[in-house]
Amino acid sequence: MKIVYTVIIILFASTLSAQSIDFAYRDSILNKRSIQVSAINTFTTNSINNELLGKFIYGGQIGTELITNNGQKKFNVLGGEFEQSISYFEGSFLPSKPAVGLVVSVSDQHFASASFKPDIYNLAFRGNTPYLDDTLDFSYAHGQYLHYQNYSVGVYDKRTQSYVKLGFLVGNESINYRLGNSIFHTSSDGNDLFLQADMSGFNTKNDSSDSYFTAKGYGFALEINHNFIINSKSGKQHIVNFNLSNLGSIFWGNSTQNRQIDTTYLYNGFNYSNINNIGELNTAILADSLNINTYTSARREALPIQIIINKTPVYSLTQKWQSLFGFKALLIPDYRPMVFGGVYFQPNDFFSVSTRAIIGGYGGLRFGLNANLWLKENFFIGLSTLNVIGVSSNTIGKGTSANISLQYNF
Amino acid sequence: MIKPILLVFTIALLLTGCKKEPTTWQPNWTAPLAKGKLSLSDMLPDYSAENTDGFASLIFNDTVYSFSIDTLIKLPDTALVQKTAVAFSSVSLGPGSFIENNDIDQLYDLGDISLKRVIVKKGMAFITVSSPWAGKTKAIFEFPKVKDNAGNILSRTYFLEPGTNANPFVVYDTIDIANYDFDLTGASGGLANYLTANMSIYSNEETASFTVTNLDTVLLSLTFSGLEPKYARGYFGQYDLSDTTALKFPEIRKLSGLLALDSLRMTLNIQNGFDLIAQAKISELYGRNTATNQSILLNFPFLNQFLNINPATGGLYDSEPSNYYLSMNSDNSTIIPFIENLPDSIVFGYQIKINPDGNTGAGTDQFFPNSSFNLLADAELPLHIKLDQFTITDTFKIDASAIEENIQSGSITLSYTNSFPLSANVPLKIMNAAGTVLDSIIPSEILKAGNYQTASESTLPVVGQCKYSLSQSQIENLVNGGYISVAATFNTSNIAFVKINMTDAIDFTLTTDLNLKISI
Repeated sequence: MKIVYTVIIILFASTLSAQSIDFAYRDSILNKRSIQVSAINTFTTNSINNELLGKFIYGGQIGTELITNNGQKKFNVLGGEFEQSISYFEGSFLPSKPAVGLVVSVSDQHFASASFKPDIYNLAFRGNTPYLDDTLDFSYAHGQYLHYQNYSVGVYDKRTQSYVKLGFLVGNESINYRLGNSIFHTSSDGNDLFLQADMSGFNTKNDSSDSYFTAKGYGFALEINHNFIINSKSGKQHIVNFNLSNLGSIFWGNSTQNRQIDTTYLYNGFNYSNINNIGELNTAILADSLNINTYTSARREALPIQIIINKTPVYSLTQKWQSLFGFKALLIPDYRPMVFGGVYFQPNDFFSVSTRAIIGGYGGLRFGLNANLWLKENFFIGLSTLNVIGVSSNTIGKGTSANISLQYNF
Repeated sequence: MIKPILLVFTIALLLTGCKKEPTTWQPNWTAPLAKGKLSLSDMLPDYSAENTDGFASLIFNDTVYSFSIDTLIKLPDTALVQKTAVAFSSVSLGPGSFIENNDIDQLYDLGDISLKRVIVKKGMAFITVSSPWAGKTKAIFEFPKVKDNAGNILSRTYFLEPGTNANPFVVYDTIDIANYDFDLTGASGGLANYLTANMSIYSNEETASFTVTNLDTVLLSLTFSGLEPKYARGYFGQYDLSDTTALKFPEIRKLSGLLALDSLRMTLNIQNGFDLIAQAKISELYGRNTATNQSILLNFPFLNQFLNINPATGGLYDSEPSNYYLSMNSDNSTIIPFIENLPDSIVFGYQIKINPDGNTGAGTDQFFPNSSFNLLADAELPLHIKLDQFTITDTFKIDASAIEENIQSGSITLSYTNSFPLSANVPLKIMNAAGTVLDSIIPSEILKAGNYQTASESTLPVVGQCKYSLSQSQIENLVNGGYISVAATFNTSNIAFVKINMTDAIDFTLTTDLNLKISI
């Protein structure tokens, strides 16, 4: 058993707050028992500015000027991670193994990701009238939404604050559609609409009576963290954190609705030649015309694997200024690798602050800010944003982010 | 395709906990709505055909008036009583001994009607048997000339306990006699309205004997109630029926303007579904246009003259009605001005004499299941016509809330190729329930008539486009008013007579250009 523990600790140890890339490492805080509550809410995009986003959040009229001013990239992406979690750390788990602790976590997670070309944005907000006789390219658009709860249990190493957790997942909702080569064309006189679409995907939303916590699938997820502790010749300590999470799948039930469309469809109006036919148009006929293949079946959905490698600042009175930098990737096509770098400043033993520049992921260049407060050794509160402009303005910038972490040791 | 777009909204909606008002925007969508090629056979598949002269006719073939005489054959609720008759002043009945009375004919009084046979459509018979005999008895009643639809004779057996004249023993019974076939010719077969019965009264004692006197009478009371005939044969009586009735055609009220016809043919068929002698006449046939208050008499040969209507032929299962045809056309009648008046109310007077000379058929009248007197019209209107401001007006109640909810403003464009020699102007009026016009929707131009070629009596197609624009204020008026009035005005080419051919058609495309209102 000793070998097993050793392997786990060496290979998978990491900081307990590793999924958030903006708090600080502090050793010896998990010797006893601890409860940690955290909320990570980040929405990032390179295509929807906050003024437009604000219209969706607060309501209001989206005018032509706003639509025009919301510049579009060649390939637009957006995504959100919304995780609310509570964890319990038991430092006296195995008396014979004093370095090993037990961690139990419950979290509620929403994940959304989409990518689309400007023509989809233009069609959605402007309609097709400005694009008569134009061919709009919808190819390779993707949209995904996932909601689940993660009930996990794992072990951690008190010396490195590294851990491994295996989670049991209860899936609530999933929508995931992807387009292949797809175009839309309106003739110059508006009499013909041509659609060529190649789409596949599924969704689990099939009952309007579903509640927020309705279980429609079950799965598992493994999360492993490891903190590499590097002591320099000058006596300074550096922590390089490695996090690998979402290694797992959800197995959705057999009422999952799968759809495939492979169609080339020309619509030029309902044929009214025989008045008696007017009542015959229905959804089934339309679906048949569009060559939509719909069926229900169980299916497995892999979680978006997340990899984070970052140099984490260390709680230290002797290292008031520290550098921080890192890398994050989600292994899905919508997400581009995100890199960041910044500085950390700790003037005293109960407060620290850090800032960083971030680029990649779902968005462009943005700035993060983090403030940490320690009250003796019992209580910690960390506030952070990965998008300072976004969180402080409803109109400027793109995306928003607000994270909080509370920890109480007893 | 739309899923990724919706997903953008979904993500945003995750953050909408403090949303105070809907998110709205107005994209512009251009889309085809409908297309088609409408010829007469498409629009009126059951009422149009090519006539013998090679152009189109409107045709009509239907029953315009119908009545039955089953209510004349009344089968009243009647109680018939049969009695046992003991020939001796006193007789002792041992076990198994009996007294019987057979072939008793009982009159079923039907007044002037003499029926030889009736099959009952529905009705009930209530039986009461009363016995004063001092011993147990068994009473068997048979109606040998009444059979059910399987051919079984109507028969009933009742077991009676001892009774006295002061306190007779009584039993009751009910029989559903629907579909029973009654032969009312009596035991001899030469009578009418007579029901024949057999009675047998047995001693039902096992060992004892009892005495019956000529004062001890077993009574059978048979009461018919609610009888309706399905079939009847006999003499139904003499009747003289007349009536004047008004037939309303509210759809015709929607028509106005000038309609000029070149010719019209109509045949009225007086159809007799009964096997009886009758005379009938159409005493008057006025058509009234209630809008112009003008009435025109349809004058035609034999108007107000009695016509001898032959009886229907065949029997119960193979009856064939007789037909009397009255042909009228533009030469022998006033049918053209009658129709051109666009009558929405027709006053129809008639008189029918049944058996006008009495029972000349010696009781052979027959009433068949579902038979009736009918007046059928078979009309053909050749579409060689002239229209001048001929207008169809109608008002519809509409629920415009969905329009207001989804459309900011927009237009509908009708692109057409018209080979009908008719032009049409179809403005729309927005009204409220009180009929006040709130707004009007005027087409950009009228639908142009095809180019009519007088020499060849054919129409060359004309291409055109008319556009209906709907502003935001008009949508608001539509929501507030709730009614739309359509007045489609038609004119023939050059306001002259034209022939419409079955190949004439309007080939059209309806395209919408809408400023939508998206709200989430």
